[in-house]
Amino acid sequence: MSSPTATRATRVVGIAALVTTALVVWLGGWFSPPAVQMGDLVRLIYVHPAMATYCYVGFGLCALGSIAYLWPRTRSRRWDQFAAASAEVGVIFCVGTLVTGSIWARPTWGVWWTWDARLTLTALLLAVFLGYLALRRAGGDPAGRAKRCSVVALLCFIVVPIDHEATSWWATLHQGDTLFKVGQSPTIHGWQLVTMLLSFVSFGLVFAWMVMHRYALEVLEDRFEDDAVVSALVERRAEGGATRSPELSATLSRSATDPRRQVSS
Amino acid sequence: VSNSYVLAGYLAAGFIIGVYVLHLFRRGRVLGRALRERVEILAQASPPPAPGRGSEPS
Repeated sequence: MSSPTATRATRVVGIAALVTTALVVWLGGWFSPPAVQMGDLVRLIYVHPAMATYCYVGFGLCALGSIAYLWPRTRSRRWDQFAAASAEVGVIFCVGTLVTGSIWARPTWGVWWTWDARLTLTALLLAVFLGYLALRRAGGDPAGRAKRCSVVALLCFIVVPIDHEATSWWATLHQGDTLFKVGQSPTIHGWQLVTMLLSFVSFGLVFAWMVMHRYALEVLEDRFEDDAVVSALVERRAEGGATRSPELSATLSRSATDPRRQVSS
Repeated sequence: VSNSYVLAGYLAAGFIIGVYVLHLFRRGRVLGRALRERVEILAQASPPPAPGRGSEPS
């Protein structure tokens, strides 16, 4: 499938993501042994924690991009575009986290949903970043919008560490960390540990592939908005039958021959 | 996969990611096509290069 946002890098990452995901599905679905207490339900551990982790990573990258945009020395439209791409992919992983978590909760807790601290905070996280994405579509001049969105992204990010620490700060139904416990070894071993670690690699590659495509798309959208202004100017001029000013002619020549505007199929 | 909840979890994750990937591809293709059309419009609207400018050196 050909896409204008595809590059050699996205193809390499995409193929690696496909291969590792297939391996995780085979190891997690069939090969790795069931758990003593949880039985086959442990196989959901190869999907749900990785999705939750990359949901945090997405929002974290969004916050980093926003800081880089707000910092005068590193201010560039690219950082704002990167923040937008990371946030959107983070939202997709957040939805995946809530859905797979709910499916896991039904057989283990007996309910699809409960207002537990971790679950509630994850739902709040989704809501605030959906708000951030809505704000990005609010319009206005690009520089003002980018600055406004960067500040809001940093405010939204405050929920991430609270959500992560919810299982240790409050008594929750949700289990604590499986892999990284301070001063303790992982509570998972053998092929289960291998499969879980591979699931983090696999979802990481999927996440990276999505962010790369989404970022390229964001750049294309911005270019489209820029061109739309010039194009509208041309149409208005043509409607009025006015002769072109030398400045407009120069702008049009530049737009038509600018190599950055040549879009490959 | 013997457990129906496990199967549902895997399918749900695959569905969410799959739909988003298709959305990215579709949006990219639509935007790419629109940009190419716009470049063509701009190329038609721009004046031809002045004689002696923009030509390849012989």
